[in-house]
Amino acid sequence: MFDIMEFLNRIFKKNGNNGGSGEEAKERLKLVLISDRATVAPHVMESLKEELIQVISRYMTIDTSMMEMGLERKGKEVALAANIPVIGMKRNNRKESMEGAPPIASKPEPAKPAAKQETVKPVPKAEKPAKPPVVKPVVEEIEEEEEKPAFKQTVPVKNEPAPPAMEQDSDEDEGDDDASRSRKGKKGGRRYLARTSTSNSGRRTSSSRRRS
Amino acid sequence: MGKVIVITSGKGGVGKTTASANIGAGLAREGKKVVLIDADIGLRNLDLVMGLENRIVFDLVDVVEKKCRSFRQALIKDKRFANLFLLPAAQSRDKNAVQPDQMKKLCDTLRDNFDFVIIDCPAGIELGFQNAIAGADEAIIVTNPEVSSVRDADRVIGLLEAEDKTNPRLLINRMRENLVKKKQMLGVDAVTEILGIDIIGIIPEDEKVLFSSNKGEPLVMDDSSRAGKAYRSVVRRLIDPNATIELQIEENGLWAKLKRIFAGGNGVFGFKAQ
Ligand SMILES: Nc1ncnc2c1ncn2[C@@H]1O[C@H](COP(=O)(O)OP(=O)(O)O)[C@@H](O)[C@H]1O
Ligand SMILES: [Mg+2]
Repeated sequence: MFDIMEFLNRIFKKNGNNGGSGEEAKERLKLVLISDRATVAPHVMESLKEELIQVISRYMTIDTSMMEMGLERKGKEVALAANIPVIGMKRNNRKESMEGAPPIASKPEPAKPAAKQETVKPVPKAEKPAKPPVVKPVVEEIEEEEEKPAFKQTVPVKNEPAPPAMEQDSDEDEGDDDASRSRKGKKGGRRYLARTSTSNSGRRTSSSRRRS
Repeated sequence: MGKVIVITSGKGGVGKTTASANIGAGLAREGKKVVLIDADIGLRNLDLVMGLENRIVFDLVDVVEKKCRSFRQALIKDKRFANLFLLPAAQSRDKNAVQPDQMKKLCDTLRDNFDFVIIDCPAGIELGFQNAIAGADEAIIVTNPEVSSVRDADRVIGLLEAEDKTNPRLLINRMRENLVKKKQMLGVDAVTEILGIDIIGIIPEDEKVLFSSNKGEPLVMDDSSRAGKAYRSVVRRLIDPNATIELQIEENGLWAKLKRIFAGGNGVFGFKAQ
């Protein structure tokens, strides 16, 4: 059957608009792979969680048993979402780690909340709600301005589809062999797509590491 | 000590078995001692493509379960090359008959006895896939220039790297140059850009692939076949990593020549090796 539109398209298109279906295939693939790659192997998520706990515990006493985190997906957006119930603040350590912060004077050693979580009065197990978003702080020395009981953080995992691929190279840390591996990719496609997300594999983890 | 290479893809029907047969035969043609393992348990096919289906006595599962004296007893010697062998898949068993650590052990044994161990991986990403990759040193990812196959390839690359199988190489199969020129098919550039791994070869669409499987004769021996030529170039790169990829796969025949003249091109897929 003779298709008049097809015929006209052939005559008038050629170097016109956005190429053929091949181009469309490429763009669609790039987009779908962003969310495909945004998966994290359980052991990777577990070690991320452990390191987060370590860092946050320098500042706050948190209820690790009720902590929740994972990747959340809304359409093309991927975010790392964490819900971490806070039991109490650790002012002492915060002071040390914030350079230039005014010294908070005159708390006698034994009275301050110690660095060890066990010394903080535990929340009675029975009173714990099944879902933990609000856990009342039970430590005495809490400051007013720090009363937010739960630390809820949503870190967007960047996924803009097509940053200029080449300029990513310069800031890579040279010792990382994951990085050098992905550098080998001809056009760096895996590189920039990869850096959009954490994932179950070295190439992507390394790439997202490079972003920061 | 030899190299164990798994040929995998995620998606079925993209050309893993064809690639295994041709790469295996091609390596043997270059004088290498090669064993092909059909890891597609329950869906045995490599024997048929190689034309060795009538000689099977023992299979992969028999070897793993030690039903035969040694792996040697299960190996089928190729008709054409004295240094090419096939370890066929079991046909009446399911994938659970083999476990990854058993495959690993088998690969370790074979590595000591051959220059190349080529594993034809089943489709999918379940146990059959895990078995096939367990003992592999390297992977070749077969993909077609088509969305679902490329997506699955990406998934498999991720799974391989999660298992510390890094640096897989890409084999793009069934490339149709004329469609790429019309921008109606993903080109080599697009596929490598999306997947971001090194490429080991490009195999054009070629009806002779069908003819060769009809006859049970790998294509690499056929000098007039474009796909056969392309496979020989893949084989050269497996032997010598520095060998150049022949990206210039020309169509044969007058019609192709005329097309080239009119298109003003020279049969390049638009991929520039650096
Ligand atoms: N380059 C090619 N040109 C034409 N047909 C091909 C090509 N490669 C594979 N085929 C055909 O595709 C089908 C699937 O190939 P096969 O190797 O069995 O795929 P897989 O093992 O991945 O399932 C077969 O019919 C084969 O003849
Ligand atoms: Mg197959």
